[in-house]
Amino acid sequence: MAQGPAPSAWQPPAEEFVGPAPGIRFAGHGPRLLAYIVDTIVLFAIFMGCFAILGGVALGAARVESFGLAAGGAALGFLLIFIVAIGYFPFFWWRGGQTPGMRLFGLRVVRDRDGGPLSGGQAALRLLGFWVNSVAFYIGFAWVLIDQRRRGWHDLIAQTVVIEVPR
Amino acid sequence: VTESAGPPAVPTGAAAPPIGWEPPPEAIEGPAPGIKYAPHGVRLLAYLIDTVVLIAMIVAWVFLTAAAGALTSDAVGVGIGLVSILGLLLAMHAYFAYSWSHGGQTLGMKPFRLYVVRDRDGGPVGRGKAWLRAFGLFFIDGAVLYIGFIWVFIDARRRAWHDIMAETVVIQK
Repeated sequence: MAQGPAPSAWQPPAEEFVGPAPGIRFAGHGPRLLAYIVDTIVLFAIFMGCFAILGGVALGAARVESFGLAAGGAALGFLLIFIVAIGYFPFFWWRGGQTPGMRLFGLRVVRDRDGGPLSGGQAALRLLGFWVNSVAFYIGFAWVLIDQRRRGWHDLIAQTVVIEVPR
Repeated sequence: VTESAGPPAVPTGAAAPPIGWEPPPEAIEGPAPGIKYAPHGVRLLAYLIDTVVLIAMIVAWVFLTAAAGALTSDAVGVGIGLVSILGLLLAMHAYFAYSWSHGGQTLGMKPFRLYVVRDRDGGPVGRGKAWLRAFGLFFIDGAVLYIGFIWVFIDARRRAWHDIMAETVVIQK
């Protein structure tokens, strides 16, 4: 089907150029999703690295038949994995407001009230919000489609908003 | 580190907030000057603290019930168990209801200066309404896919279903 010229009086969607301040726009849904996927891939790679080290330690422990080395290595390895799993997102949100995935897509999470940087508590609360979203059937993530400022529940809980980093 | 290309209004991590930032519409909202509707985050944290209190209560209750059951015959033990379950349910309601009708705060709400007050005029919550609110919290909010809790994100006064049932609102002073 041939596509004619664009209608002259086309109304753009109301939210197209919305932003919290002049020259700053709320982050697009697509880049946010992609950034999250990149972060999960990064996290997965880190976990795989941890498990590889764990496996190596286990093999070494089996060779020298040291139960202490095996148990110690396993405890340390799982502690490492736990710290990464808990700390990855909040650390980057707190330090500069960008996870590696968000950096790739030019996104930043900032304080909703004035656009300032997040406190450590806010960053931790935001991860807690991720879990709330997941428990309640992921509705909290879909909330970005409804909210005027494109906030998910994790944003509402931590009082944050995600913006595009102007270039 | 190579992020100095933007205009001065750009937030770069720990830098100053941008000029002309419009706060979210709800940031300044509250039922009265100097009183905010409780933020979602601290409400969640308060609830988590109260959950720890409830778990402690349940563990102690189960331990006492098991001890009482072990000291008596089987038939009496079953009876004690059934009464105990009912008692636990009442005690869990009582913990919340008493806290709300006497000072408006549970243990979890105290560190965050949260209060449950009457929605109509900000006054104290009565005993009956407090019990109704506890019942709503335990049995109504979660009954339909937790929508009752989710309601705090929708409602302009941040009320969950148990707030609407008991005609209350949660504030932060």
